[in-house]
Amino acid sequence: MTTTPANNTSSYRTLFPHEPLPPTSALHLQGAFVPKRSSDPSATTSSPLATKCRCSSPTYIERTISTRLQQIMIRFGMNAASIETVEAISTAEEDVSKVRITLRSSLETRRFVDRWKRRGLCPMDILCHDDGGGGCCGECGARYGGRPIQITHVSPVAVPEDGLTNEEEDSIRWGRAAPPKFQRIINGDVEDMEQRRSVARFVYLENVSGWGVAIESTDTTTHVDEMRQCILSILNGDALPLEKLMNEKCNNNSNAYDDVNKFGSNGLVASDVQDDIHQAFQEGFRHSISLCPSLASTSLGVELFMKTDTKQKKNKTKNGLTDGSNHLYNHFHVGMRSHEDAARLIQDWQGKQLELTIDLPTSFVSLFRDKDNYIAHEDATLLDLSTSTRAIITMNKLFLDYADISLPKRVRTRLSPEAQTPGLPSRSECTSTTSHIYIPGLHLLPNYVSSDEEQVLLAVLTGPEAPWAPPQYTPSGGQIKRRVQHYGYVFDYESADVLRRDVNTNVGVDNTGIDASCCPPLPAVNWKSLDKAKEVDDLEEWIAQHVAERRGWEVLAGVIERTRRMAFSSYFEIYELKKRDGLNFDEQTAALSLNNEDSSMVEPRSHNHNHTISVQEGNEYQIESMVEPDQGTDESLKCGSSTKGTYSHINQLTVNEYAPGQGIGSHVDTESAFDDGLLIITLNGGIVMEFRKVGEDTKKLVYLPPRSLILLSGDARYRWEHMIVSRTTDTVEGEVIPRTLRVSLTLRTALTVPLEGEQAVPLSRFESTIFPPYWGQPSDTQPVVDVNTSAIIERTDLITPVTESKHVHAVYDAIATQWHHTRGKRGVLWPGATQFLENLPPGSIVADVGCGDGKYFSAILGANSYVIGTDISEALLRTASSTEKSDGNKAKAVNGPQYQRLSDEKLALSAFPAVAVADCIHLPIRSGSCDAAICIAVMHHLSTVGRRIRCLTELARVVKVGGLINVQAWALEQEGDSKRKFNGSDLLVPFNAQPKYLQASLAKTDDGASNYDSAADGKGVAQMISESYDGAEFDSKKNLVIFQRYCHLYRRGELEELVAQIPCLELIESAYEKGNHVVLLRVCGADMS
Amino acid sequence: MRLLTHNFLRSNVKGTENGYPLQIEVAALNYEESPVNKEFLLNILPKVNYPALRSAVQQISHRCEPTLPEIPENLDVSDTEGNEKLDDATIVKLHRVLLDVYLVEGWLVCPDTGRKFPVKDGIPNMILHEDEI
Repeated sequence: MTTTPANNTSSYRTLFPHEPLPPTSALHLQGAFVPKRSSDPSATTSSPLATKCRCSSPTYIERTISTRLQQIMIRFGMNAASIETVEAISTAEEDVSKVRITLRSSLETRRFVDRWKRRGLCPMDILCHDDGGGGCCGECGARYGGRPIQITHVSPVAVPEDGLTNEEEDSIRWGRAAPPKFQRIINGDVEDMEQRRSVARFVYLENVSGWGVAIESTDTTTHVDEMRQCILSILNGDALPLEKLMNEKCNNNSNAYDDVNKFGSNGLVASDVQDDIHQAFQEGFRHSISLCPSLASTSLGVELFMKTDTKQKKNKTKNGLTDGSNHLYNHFHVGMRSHEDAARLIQDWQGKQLELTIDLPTSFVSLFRDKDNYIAHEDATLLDLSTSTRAIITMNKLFLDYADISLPKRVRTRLSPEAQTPGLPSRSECTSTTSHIYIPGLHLLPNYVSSDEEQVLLAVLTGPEAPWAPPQYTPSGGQIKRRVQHYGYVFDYESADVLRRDVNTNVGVDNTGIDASCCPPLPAVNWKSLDKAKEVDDLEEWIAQHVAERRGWEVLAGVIERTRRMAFSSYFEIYELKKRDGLNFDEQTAALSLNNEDSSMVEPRSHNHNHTISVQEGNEYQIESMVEPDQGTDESLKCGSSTKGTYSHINQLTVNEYAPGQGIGSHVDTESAFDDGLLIITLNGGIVMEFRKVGEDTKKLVYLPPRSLILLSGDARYRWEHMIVSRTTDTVEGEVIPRTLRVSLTLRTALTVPLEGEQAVPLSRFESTIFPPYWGQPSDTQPVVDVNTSAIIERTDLITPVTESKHVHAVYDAIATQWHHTRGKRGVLWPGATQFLENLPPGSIVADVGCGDGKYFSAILGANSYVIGTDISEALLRTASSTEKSDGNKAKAVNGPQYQRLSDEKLALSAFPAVAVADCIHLPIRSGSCDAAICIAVMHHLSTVGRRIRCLTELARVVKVGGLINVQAWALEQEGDSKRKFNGSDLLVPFNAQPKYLQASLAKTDDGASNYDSAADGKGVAQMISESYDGAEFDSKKNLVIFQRYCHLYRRGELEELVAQIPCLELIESAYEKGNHVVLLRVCGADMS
Repeated sequence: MRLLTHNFLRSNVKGTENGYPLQIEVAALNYEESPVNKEFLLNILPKVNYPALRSAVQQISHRCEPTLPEIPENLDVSDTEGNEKLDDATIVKLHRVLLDVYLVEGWLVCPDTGRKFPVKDGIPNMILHEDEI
């Protein structure tokens, strides 16, 4: 042991716990090592300052501390021989405030520091002579202080290496007192995240726990198995076994060292040993990082951030709260010297099961010796240092990710003041409309579709008839979350190409083997779909009529055709001119119609002729001389099919549903797949689209309002990427607009793969006029499709479609009780139906097909007829027969007012009405046996034309020749004062169900209903039910289950069209009654078997 | 389910020619006399398939407590005028078998295919499986 006086302290710096251990380090003890003379006047006189006591001399202090340190180290279970130097540092005589101590290894030093810190020793404890008494120097009587000595682990400052330059920057970010807080880079703006990930040097490691441990020991005197168990428990955060062991082994010895007990310690404690294991683990971990190939960081450069607060841990384990999430080793962070190293580490270790070899500390190993061989800590110097005991630890499969430091706020402002500029919205960038933005080839037409058209389109595209493809995958393996459906041709996101097929051969009649390239055909205009007597050849008129009739698919076909005919170039030239000239351009003019005679027309025609754009007198524009800035490149990029700014070969439609929060990554549409000219129509909710010039930082934001069309052509299509950021609000002109569901229609021209030397041409159109479109539907380019001839009942029509089983059958089963209570019991009958029943001759047998809860039974029985009711819903039928059979009065009370006028014998009949569970398209009634039939509010739940016809055919079969049938179904045309207004003929109508009724329904139909009774704990009944029904939603505010009922709304004349296809049915009368269409039919002589 | 209702039901399973009349297998019957309405019965009677009714009565009679009344072996119910001449006792008997006996639990069996349709709580379930369509 040598002592070297030195006054220079500036060449040392504090080592943080996360830092790797340098080869050499020291520890500084800082405190009042020179005792203070007593301020007592008598003491002052007895020992004048002039007489120097040795207790203030550095040499004395060094020697005393050396001696005491050896004792302390033994007490700490460390090797006392490892002390190399003890050096008192004094800036002046008699002012020793710092002692620098060097131990043999840095690891020893760190252990020593940790143990010391845990005990909080003060100068009085270590410098006082045994004979001094009362904390005084035995010779001069000066008193030692009672303030704890500060201990710091320091390292000589080396010349900074290149790789260490980050260090200083980082240390600004967290003070020495507060370790940094980390977060994985998984939240926030996509770009921002990418930016942060591309520079991050911190790595998040998870799944480190889940250990397998093996022990290798050259020391034959230890119990390896116990050691293994103990390490396992320590690594799992449970220190109890260790503490128990420590108590067993050490208790007897501790009493012998009473003098050391005044250090405030109880010898070696369990957490000391635990810390030793942690230290050894960290060393082993750093070592294995250094084994990772091609890293610039060595084990010396790697920072390890682990939770080291074992105190908290101990408390928890004592309370028995060993929670896996609190494991010290569950996850931690690693600081690499550079982003490149971090990237390499992630790449190399991701998913690997690492094996760590750690050298176990002697303090730990010695615990596992036999009592006889156990060497107490005071004899630690006698430990055989030649033996080594190692643990080999196998980890779970690692998960690694980039992390960065979540900066405290004040630091953030200091680092990037510009990011904190007040007044700017933080969530989304401010966006202006295109009026301030110029991207060559990008044009936006507001109000391209009218709001009526929008409503009809939305109804059909979000309705039950719309096909939706299963989710597709992106090239990176992610799943596309938004709903996407292609028409005409499938665009495959994984290969980023159109799936081309011969449209003429791939007519999938058998739709079981649907291949990836199969999709519904593009809706096409059928000129003859309107009244044949009146030929309509004007597209806009054709669209308007179909909007009026709420024929969504036809309107979609019309809008596609409108886009094909649109002469964009001429329109935009004027638009640009007006805009640049500062004229107040009226947006109404944007909703211009087309001119199908002359596509080169410069002046587009408007719906509203007051707003016709025309070249103003005295302000003449030279259209011909208008040259767009990038027209040259525009032309060179075009394939030729889209010259003159028309896109007449559009053959592909993509319908996208963007829910709030959904977006699309930055991309340029595949050049070889689609021709120039991408046309995007926005419905329902506006959205901000971002454009970025390929290879440049230029970014422009364009707000796409609802009902607008945006055209990307030329540069905008080929040289600018477009994207939609995933977020829930947009900021437009300073106003924050919450996003709502946006339905976008993207119209494109898919191209062939050209032969060498040839040009790609548009693929032939795959389209149809039969609606709704479905997979495997043959293309139908022949324009004539007559509903009257196409109606053939396929076998598939006889099998219940999912639409009906999910949105009709299941719903009525669930809501039966409420339906009966709130509707049936009120006894509101359609006057027309009641009159029909009353006019039947007495004794008629009436089939009530789809009788539900039997609300017409009383009217039928009251007219002295007998009713056989059928319904698909057993639950509803049960409500029909739920009357108390013996007590007539009760029957009246239970089943509602309409029963009050029934005589007793009728009541007997109504008590057990004749009902059977049956499908209306397979009636279980013998042919020709009934005198009449009613079918009320049933046909609108049938989802295909074939099934509707089949239902009418069945009605005709069971009724005798000459018998009458009354059919009622919901009308598309609702009365003006009705609260309902329908924009499409096929839709889902919500039914708000109250949980109390639902429970009753379930109890009657489902034996497993007890599941719902016990639902009181935690979830409510309504929520549980809504979860168990596919398609039902839970309204948590009102505690309701919202079911969706499928309905087909009949247009005026539609029922009659169906009837006309059944030879044995004769239409007697058509009527419209309170939002319903009614037909009265007679069965005529034709043979129906 | 009353025998009057049974008289109108048939099986619809794929491959059946008539599916009529359905055989009855009884698990539980209920018999409860109700006031007789002669006019109603006479109006209904012509629509009843009498042989089917009689065979149904024979199938369930022994399971009924009290035993169902005997109805005539042959009766031309379609003859409205003949029905008018029926004596009151026969009218009551017909009323009892058509309207007062209920099949509560049991099965209806298709005569052509043997397919059994369950009857539960008096409600026959005539729904077909997909392979029966």
